[in-house]
Amino acid sequence: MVTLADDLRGLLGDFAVRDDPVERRAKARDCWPRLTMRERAGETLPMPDVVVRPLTTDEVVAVYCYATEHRVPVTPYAGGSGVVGGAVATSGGICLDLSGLTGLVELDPVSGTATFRAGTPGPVAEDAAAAHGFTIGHFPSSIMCSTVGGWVAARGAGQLSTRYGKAEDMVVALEVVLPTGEVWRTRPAPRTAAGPDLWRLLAGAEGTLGTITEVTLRLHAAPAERRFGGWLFPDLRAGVEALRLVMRTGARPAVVRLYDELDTSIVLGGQGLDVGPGALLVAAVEGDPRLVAAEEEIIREVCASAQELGPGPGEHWWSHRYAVSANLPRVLAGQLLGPHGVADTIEVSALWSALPGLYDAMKASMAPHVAVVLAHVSHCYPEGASIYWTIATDAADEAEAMRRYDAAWHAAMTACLDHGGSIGHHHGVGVARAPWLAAELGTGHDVLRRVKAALDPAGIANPGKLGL
Amino acid sequence: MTGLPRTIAQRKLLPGPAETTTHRDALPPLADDPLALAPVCASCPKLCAPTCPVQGATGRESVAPWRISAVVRDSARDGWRPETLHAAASCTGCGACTHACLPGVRLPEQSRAARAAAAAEGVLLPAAATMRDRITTTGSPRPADAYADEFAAGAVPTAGTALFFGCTVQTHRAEVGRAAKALADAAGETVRCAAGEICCGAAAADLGLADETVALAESCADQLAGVEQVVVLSPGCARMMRDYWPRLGIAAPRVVTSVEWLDTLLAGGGLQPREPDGVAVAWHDPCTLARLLGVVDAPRRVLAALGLAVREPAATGLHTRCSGGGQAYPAVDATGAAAVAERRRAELAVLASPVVSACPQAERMLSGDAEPVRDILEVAAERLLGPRE
Repeated sequence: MVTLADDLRGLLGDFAVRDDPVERRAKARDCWPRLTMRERAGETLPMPDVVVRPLTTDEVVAVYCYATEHRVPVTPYAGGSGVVGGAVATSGGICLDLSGLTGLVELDPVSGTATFRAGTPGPVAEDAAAAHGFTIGHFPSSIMCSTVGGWVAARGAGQLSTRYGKAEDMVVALEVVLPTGEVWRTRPAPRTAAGPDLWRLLAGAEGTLGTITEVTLRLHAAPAERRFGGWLFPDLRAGVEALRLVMRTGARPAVVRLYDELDTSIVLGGQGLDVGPGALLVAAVEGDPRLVAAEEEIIREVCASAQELGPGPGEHWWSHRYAVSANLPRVLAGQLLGPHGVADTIEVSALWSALPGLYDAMKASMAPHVAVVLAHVSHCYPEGASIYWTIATDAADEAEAMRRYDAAWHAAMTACLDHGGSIGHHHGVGVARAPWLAAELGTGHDVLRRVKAALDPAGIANPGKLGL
Repeated sequence: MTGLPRTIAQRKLLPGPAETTTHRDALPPLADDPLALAPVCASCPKLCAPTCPVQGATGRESVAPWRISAVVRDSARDGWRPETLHAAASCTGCGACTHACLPGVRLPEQSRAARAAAAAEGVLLPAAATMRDRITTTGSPRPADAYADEFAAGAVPTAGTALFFGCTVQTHRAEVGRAAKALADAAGETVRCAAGEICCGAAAADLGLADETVALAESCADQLAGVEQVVVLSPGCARMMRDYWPRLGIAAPRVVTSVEWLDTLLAGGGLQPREPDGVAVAWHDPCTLARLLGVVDAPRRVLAALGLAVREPAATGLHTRCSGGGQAYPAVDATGAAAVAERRRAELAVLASPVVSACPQAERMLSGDAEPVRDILEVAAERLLGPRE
């Protein structure tokens, strides 16, 4: 009997196709904590039927043409760094492993742009830019395993996004393979008025409308200087107001992170940075020394009423900025909060006017379900910012752990929608946020459905994600 | 103007390798329970992902360090199967991931222990079954006729310094052994050759053969009894003796790698350094030598003392990249090992210079058809003693 894997081997060759259980199981989860918890509980997760690793855009086209003709689901997967289940083949079918599409295609030093194949890992892309005196400026916690295409597909944000923007702000052009097999290359331009920015449909679509195969990113001059600062505010609200004032001046610091009182005490205190009670703001400014000096002066002036702590807290954050991402999962591994420990992060965003109320409401909503609820405000814009929640708790058994986890998420999403927030800032939707996306988008979700129906008539492109 | 670090490694996004090995704190290499080598992977954002040469070369998520760790965890619970053992053994032991892993997973040790745990359940790597049969019938891990005659029996050391050749030198790289002997003679060192069918046990340990490992190591130690110092030509053997023998309760003489031995001879006047003459070589740091044994500066001093200019590949020193030959990986997946080697070969080819190393196994993996990779002992003998017949 000819199998799906046999058919795909006929298209791409033996080396590109694997259907052994070990490889399929390796692709059964991304970094979504709920999947880790299910595995921990002994559950066998849904797996793709076959893993296909194309090396060219033409091979991606061949996979999609086959999949559409035979109505086989296709789930793109590159680094598997997502934390909302977006890369999980919940309907089986083909796992489209994009890690073979890697490398710098072209760098334009005059314009400051670089084109990467979609599966290029973050460190490789950043080092390629650095070799020419540039930085991409995208440093997510997942940089070691995330890829350029994934950044755009899920609209990620790095730790320096306040200065360099989110992934979608970095895009100059895309190459996309549509579910029906057409290759769509958008025209690189700084900005255009030639109709709507259609490529934006693909940013955040998480593979539901096709697969990104190449990305042209805008680059920035590598920073010549970086300076750190730290201030202690009596509470989060006072700090939020300072952030707002900084951003309204037009300053674009690389980092402004305001930790609530608990985050300041537990996380930073746990790392050995004891600054006393209050809400800690760490800041970093970088770039041309003249701009650095000006931005530093602005921040210092705005924060004059707070306790200035010098560069220490910022330098501490810089040197520990990946520690939380590495240590938080240790809860799920049963290493920190007992064998059934639960931990996750939930990031939302809101306008400045809604942000303090949203913070209070979300915290109150999650508190009954988990032992620890803490947050920091970061990824700032002139009109608002992100709140990045960390939740953790112990539990008596796996069933209770899952109950608490699900209840906290439900409470958080509901409170966010009720208090004027957006349910996700940069982790995407995947499966985790899918139940609330229709409420978030309103009529827009129906628009998305219609676009999906037009571009993906067979419904094979990452089914089950984004509530589609 | 631009004083800030540029590359990802310089920016310390990846934790830097320790100055010296941290692996010596590892639990016994053949622990019954691989999970005793905890912590297992904590599902962080895959900090190990960019470091793994096997995943990089094969593109397979199932052999990524984080995934192997998960396979070890699941198999400890559910039992081993051939396919899960194959995945867990798809590790060259290069140690690159361990330096990136903040929770501290030691995958090389975990992978090695997993092989032993599977073997204890009767699930053996195919190469392990062959080796077990051979050891049972002949007492040797390699076929008797594979050993170079010149290193055969009768050369067992009884005192002083011993040259320990190891299986790879004797079966495939006899010229490295000859160079070592010539250098010892030239230095006036009275050495004995620990050769013949003597194995430190690493070959068996790499395949998960716990009992055979202990038997081979004990036999080897017996034959080295009375020796004060053993100069070991393969870093893998050196690590076995230096780091693992004590954990098996086996006493070893003072263990010195060939590079450290040369370094001492050149610094102490046993061998006379040579003036630079404009010849350049590309240096490949063997993973075990550099990352696991912490020997990084010595080979550079030696090459300089040989009058050679050293060209460094992009990944060098403690950040060196794997040749694909470690921890019996070629026996587990020959195609994957060749792919790993090809990637490293390409990195070295950029330097357009003859490649020199100090690991006979890596030299085998990295040697191309036209340009063999030479051992630092061979180069030292040629540079200091002249061309040899």
